[in-house]
Amino acid sequence: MWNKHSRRLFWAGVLPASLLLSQMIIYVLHLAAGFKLHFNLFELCSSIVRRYGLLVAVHALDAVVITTLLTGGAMVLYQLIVSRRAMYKLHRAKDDKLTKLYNSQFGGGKLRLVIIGHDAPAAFTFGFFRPVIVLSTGMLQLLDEEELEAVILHEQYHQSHADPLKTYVLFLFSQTLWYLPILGWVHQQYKLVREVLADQYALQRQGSPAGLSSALVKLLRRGRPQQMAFAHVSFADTGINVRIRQLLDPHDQASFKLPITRAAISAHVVIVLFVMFYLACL
Amino acid sequence: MKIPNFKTNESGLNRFFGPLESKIMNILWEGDEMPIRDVQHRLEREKAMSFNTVMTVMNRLVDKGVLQKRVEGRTSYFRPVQSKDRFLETQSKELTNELMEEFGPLVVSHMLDAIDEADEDLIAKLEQKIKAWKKER
Repeated sequence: MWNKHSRRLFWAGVLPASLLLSQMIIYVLHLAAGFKLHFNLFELCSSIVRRYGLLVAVHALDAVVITTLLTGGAMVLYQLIVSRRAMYKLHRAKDDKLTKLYNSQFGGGKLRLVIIGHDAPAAFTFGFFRPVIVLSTGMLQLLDEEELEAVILHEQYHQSHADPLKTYVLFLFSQTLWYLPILGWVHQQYKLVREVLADQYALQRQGSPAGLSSALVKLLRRGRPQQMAFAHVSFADTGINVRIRQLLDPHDQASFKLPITRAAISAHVVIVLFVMFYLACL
Repeated sequence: MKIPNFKTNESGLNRFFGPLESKIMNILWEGDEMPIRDVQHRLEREKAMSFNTVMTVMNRLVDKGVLQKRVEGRTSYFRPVQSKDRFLETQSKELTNELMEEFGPLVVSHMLDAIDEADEDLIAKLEQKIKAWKKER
């Protein structure tokens, strides 16, 4: 059920967003090409529009399209720079001996696992295209072998499913197309579902929820592992509680109620935008 | 003290220093406080090296803040600010702290997100269960 839900969420975010974005790109190309190549055609087009007094609306549409595409581009660029720098630093912070040791101990060298010297316990998967699992020495000290294996399995799931990239794509859409509030909800839900799936993978592989559960409890009891600089807290991120419930009872049916208002607003915005595209290119 | 340039594929000292720099650092870490001339002599056991080259590099290491310079009469003596172990440790500490700050949540899947919101009752229940699971074995 979680797998299905995950797929549905992903496409519920990606399909409308990419449809809208591609429409925008086509529109911009149309504008650019229209001015140069089909000057007359465009004249005709905008004269019809003018007659109906829709010129203001067309300008508004242009503004929305251009700011959206520019923010999208800028965000991708920024993220690429930041990730590159972080990847660079990651390699420098690597503890060579421990990295070798743990890579051979878990996954037989197939995992891309990096151990960094850091007192606070940290475990995450990082990178778009060849994600690496990062564990801090603080984490190694905190957990016993079974717990550690569970955490690595959890991260391994994220790694092999390219979760950092997928969640980033949904995040990007939710930010650039902020006027479709449903996308923000999709992003949050998707992140949670991926965590649950990673948990499930870990406990299936281990055959028992004990390792993962006690790792989770240890981390929870320690307090917040570290303050991430721009860790964002969501509007209703009850993620961790959903995860605990799943560990307590794997058959617990979490409810995913579609937020009606957000969905309705988003649908309206999409309709209005498409009508305007149609009118602008008439 | 932060070393701005580093090479990701190198290991150990070469991540922070160029080849000549790390040779000089190793000489000074192994030995005592030394003037440039002594360092040059040791380097020359491997390969001829001009005094000027060694001086330039050593002064650069002073600028970087890894070497300390003490002038006595007409001779300057150099020694590392930190021991080798200490140096490597602070370098990687600083680095990881920075790294932790810079990692966005966006490219990262966390083991734990927003744990502040964890429900106390649920944690307690889970703890009970863990005990039970461990007993079963």
